[in-house]
Amino acid sequence: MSGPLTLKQRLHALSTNIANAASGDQLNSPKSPGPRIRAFFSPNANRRQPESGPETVNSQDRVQEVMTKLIFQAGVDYETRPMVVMNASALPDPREVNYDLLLARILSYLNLYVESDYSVVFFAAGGRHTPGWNWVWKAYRSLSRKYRKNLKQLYIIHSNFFTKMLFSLAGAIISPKFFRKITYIDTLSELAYHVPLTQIDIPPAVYQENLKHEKQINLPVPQRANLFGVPLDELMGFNGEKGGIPRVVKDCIQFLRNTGMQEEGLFRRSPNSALLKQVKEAYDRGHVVSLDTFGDPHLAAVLLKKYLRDLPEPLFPENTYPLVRKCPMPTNDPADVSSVIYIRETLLLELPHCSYILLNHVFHLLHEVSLRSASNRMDAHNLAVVISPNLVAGSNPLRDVTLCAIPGGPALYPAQPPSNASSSNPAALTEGKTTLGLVVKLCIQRYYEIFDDLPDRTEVLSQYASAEATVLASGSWSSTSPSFPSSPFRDSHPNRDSMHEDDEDIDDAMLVMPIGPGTSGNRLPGASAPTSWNHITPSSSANFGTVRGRYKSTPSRDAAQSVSTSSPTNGNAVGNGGTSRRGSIAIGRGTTRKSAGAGVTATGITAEGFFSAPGNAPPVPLLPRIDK
Amino acid sequence: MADLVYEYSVVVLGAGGVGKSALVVRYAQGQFLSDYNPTIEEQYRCDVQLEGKNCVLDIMDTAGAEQFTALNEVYIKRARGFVLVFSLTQENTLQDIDNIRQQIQMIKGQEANIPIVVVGTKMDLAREREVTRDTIKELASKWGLPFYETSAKNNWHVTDVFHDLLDQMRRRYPDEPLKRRKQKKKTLKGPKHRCIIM
Repeated sequence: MSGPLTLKQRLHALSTNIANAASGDQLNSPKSPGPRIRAFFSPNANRRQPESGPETVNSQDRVQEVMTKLIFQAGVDYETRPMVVMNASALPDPREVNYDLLLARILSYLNLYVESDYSVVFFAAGGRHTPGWNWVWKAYRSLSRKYRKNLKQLYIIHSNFFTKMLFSLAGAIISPKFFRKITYIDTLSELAYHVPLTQIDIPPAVYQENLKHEKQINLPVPQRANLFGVPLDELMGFNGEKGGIPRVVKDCIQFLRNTGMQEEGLFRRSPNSALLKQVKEAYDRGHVVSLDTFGDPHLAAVLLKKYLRDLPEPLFPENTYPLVRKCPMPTNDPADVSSVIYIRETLLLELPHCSYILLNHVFHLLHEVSLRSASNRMDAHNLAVVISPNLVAGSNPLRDVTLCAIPGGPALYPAQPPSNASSSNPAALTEGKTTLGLVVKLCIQRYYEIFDDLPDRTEVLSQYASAEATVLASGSWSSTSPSFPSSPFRDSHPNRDSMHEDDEDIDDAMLVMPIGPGTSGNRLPGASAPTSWNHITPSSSANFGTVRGRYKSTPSRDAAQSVSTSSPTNGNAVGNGGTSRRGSIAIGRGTTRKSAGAGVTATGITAEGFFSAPGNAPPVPLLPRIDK
Repeated sequence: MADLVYEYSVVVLGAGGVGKSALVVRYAQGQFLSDYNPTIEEQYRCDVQLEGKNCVLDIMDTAGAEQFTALNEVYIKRARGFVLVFSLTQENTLQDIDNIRQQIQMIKGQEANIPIVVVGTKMDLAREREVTRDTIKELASKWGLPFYETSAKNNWHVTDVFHDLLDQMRRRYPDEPLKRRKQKKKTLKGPKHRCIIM
């Protein structure tokens, strides 16, 4: 996965350079070659030609942004030729983007491929913007032989009558030979016969267009990488030994972390249901999916909920209901840990370990969402209401509703002031009445007390190292200012792992305690020394004397810092005393739930080598050789 | 006042966050629910006088379509009238309505004239509006259902919705004066019951 992606990134970087160098010439003299595929945009919109548009840095950025969606490589086709995907639906508004610049970029991108055989998949439909005739003509004229010669196949998907006609005409006049390379395709299912469809990160607009042509995408050989509705232990291994959480969950969490945390009504509101279905099916097909192209946080959030809901065995199966009910009634008192301990040491231990791991990831995300309730309006209560129903699927749906209720939530009516509602006297509610809704709410509120740090070998483990190093360098962990140099880091790391909100970095800041190495190994949930529970507020890292003082002194668990301290400590403790690892790769820790053990160093090195290689060796000449 | 009480059960369905609760609370309680709290399930009872007869509207406010999908079937089987709610500011919530509408038809089978009202909410947010009146007209004739544009905040057309529905139900089930059934057989709502009786 990361192979082609990085390749793509490298190519883009490269094409930027070339375009920068070449754009001047090309603007003046369209001697440059142009791909004829561009020639069949419908002419109905004779939009203004931004011929004389001022070339600002801004527009450069915009072009770059457009380019990544407009044209990209999707691995190789069945004949191992590089497969270049062009996507007309990503054509930008001509008023925003200089089309000449765009043309230059497209050509220079194609230059990477045209020296040897390649094929092009062109999604013709779904565009809202069409370039003007002038541009089309220019592109058409600048098409030189070298672009045609090695193009072995051109698949045009979802073409309409006009594009077909235009193409036939052009093909007949200019080059009948070229004409023969064109294949018109109506549906994605049909395309799947010609190219490895699942490699293509299909844009949302194309999915929607495809729905007009067929109801369902069928692969010639049904290769189902089923995700939804597959037993969790099949995907993860009973103890999570198969490596990490399901792909779709990971993607959703990562995407939401990067872009969606502030979205109002996250996990509450619905996305476009047709697209939701397409994405879900894409995951089930084993298709490449990048949620970024869909760009809708609600889609990711509901996809995550849907995944949980579709589990054949819900995360809280019916046999756990009595246990849920027996949980001590949660209160608002941060010092009250009885329910926390119960959930931690009794309820969660009842679940298969893979369920625990999944819940751990999900609640970590939800906890972070709830910290931003000022902007997204989804506090722990609201999140619990919308999440709990997805964690149960008993035989009696009405019973499930009862179980998911959250008594004592914010009052619905002004008659009951919200303030007293959630702090209503717990004694009045009898034992055995605790609902899953309440448990979930508490899990979101006090995530760091309830869940342990998790070893997870599937994600890049470098965050701890960096945070660690920074913290140690900048002074003691107990310094009162938790403001960490988060933003500069974030800005300089556009890749996904490193994009995190401030709170996250604050968390990182709090991770590190002055603790000797080797205090504990990877612990399973609930394995901490029970004695420690008696006199400190619940921290999963009960072994560390230093932690206690901290906890005692901050009774309020609402603040991000105080909540976040406990579990990550483990990671560091486990990760031994090698605190001075480099922090060059990433800061912030989207992938927190792991122990930063020896794995950190290893992965870090790998990653570093991987990223730095392109700098030393320009990848350009490598590419055309791929298939020869 | 008599022994004859016409009772009609109504269920309110729609995507999450479109304003189902706000609509119901505005009707049942006469106030605007400005809190931002998703619903699991709430039940409201309203006494209404219609043509000199006492009617009781038993309104079930439900979670967004995204939550208890399994439960929709139960709701649909149980209810006689349906309020399908979408947000005028979110075009894609119409899709959820369409899905639910088809589900209702599937479950209710061949029954004709199922009392349904389609409600677009948040009419006051004119600047964020995504669903045009033309779309609504088109769908109304396509589905053959009455559409209302409402604002729970400004109390626009809220009562019209429920009275239209009540009207439809009265015509659809004319001769079934029901005694007040025991409502307590379902204990759906946990310890706190939030029934409103007007």
